[in-house]
Amino acid sequence: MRPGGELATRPLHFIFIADCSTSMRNSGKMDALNQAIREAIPHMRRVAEENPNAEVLVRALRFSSGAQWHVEAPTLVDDFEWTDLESSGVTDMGKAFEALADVMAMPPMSERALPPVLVLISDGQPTDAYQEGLQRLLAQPWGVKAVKLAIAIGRAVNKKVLQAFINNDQIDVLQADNAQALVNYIKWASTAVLKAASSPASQFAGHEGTNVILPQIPDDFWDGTQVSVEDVW
Amino acid sequence: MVKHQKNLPRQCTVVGATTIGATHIKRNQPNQDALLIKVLPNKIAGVSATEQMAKAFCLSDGHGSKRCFRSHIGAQFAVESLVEAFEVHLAPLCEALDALDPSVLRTGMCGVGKPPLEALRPLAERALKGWVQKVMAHLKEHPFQLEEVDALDYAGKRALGGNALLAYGATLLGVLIVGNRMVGINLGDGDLIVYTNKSSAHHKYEDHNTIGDHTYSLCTSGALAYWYYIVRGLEDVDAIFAATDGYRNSYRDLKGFEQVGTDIVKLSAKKGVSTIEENWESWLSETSRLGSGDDISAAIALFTHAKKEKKRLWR
Repeated sequence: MRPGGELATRPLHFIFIADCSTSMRNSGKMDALNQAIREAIPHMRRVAEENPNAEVLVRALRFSSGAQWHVEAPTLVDDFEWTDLESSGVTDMGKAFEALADVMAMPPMSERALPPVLVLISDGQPTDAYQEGLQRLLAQPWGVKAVKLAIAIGRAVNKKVLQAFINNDQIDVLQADNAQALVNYIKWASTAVLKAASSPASQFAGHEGTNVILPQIPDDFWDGTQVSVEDVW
Repeated sequence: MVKHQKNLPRQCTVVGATTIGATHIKRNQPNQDALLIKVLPNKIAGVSATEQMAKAFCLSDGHGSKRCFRSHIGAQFAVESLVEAFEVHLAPLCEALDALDPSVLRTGMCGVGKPPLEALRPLAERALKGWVQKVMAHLKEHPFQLEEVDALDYAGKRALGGNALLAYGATLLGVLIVGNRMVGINLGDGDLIVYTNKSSAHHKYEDHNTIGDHTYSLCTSGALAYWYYIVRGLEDVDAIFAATDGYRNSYRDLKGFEQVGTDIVKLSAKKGVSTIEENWESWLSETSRLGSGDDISAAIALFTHAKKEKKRLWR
């Protein structure tokens, strides 16, 4: 007898944006990224279960020479399986931003969605004119309201570009200098940040950016991490 | 044979409730919404007793963010302030409403140009001022505590230092029904829908700033500019429905949400308003649980024809 149409939880889109340029082949970076995402999935499922009013939908976008969807359809986290990425080509980050702009537009995004979480992982410099793609992304209201994180792999990264993508001076680029750090940051982004985005509070309009309060990286984040010189990228 | 008296005045019944969402239960936070329904005595002389009554219902949704750590209090002050403003401005509002053609719908923004009802702007100003006064009085009695402020980041502390109202931030939505006219005011992301026998009309202000749970608020500078109003007659109205955004966000699409009012009108016609009154709170609770998980406050004014008591004729 309850009035109204079909009830539904609110969609929360989580997108991995992965640099698959040739340089990611070096020093096991691509293997580490694949492993990190694969290990994060069970934790994401646990977070989704603990926040039943958010419908967590996962996708992955790869960019090297051009940008292509690795997992194109927004996939329920319980059904999300990871197929390894491979590296080859240059670093067309701008093309990735354009692809993101397309999916952040309304439609396909809806007003009732929860703020999306976009996680960009890169080890280098864009090789295309990324500014246009980034402008297009940030021209979308959801492009601005999304929680955007960037993980820099190694020291050859252009952090200014990653910071421009984040578009929030309260959030720094995360620096991963070894495989364990990458695993830890991916896990943090796909659990603590996902949890925060699952139940955001309202925010008064005019406050720029996302209304998701990012959790602090905990003090024991690096506990148990043992890194030797050879492991550092 | 049963006879019913024709052209009986319509009755207006307001049903309302508020329910806490699962998210706030988990966070050990109070319900951030507030709801107030009140009958206002209308002291205009020369008018019959029933027409002297005006009904008001107001809802508010406190933001509930870390920066708005007293927004549940702000929401309560908001509904009280709007009802008080309705009471204070009732006489001039009635005069102004009487002068308007009830068949014409009027909508607009309080802070832009000249609203068609002169009385609307001072009403909104009175409500806003009343809210600020209540907040400042509360703050004086209960200064911010260290544990409240410590939870904020640097930007949050700076923002609060510049505008203490932020801690009490809330939306506000209210309806005043007097005679066969209504006035609706909507600041923020709440929903106000008017149902007639032909269609439904959704009344709120939205722009590119108001997606992703961002909303215009009592605590933001220039809030008056974002007060949306509606003035119309009630001859053809079946129901007026107002709800905080947790309700709309629980439905897969807008059509499903707008169907709430349509279904309630049909149900009350079939089974009586008492069915709505008995089930309203449980419907809200179920909707929150299966939908958004947010607090939900909603009220609906139902217009039904009074029925004369049936007299059975013996033949």
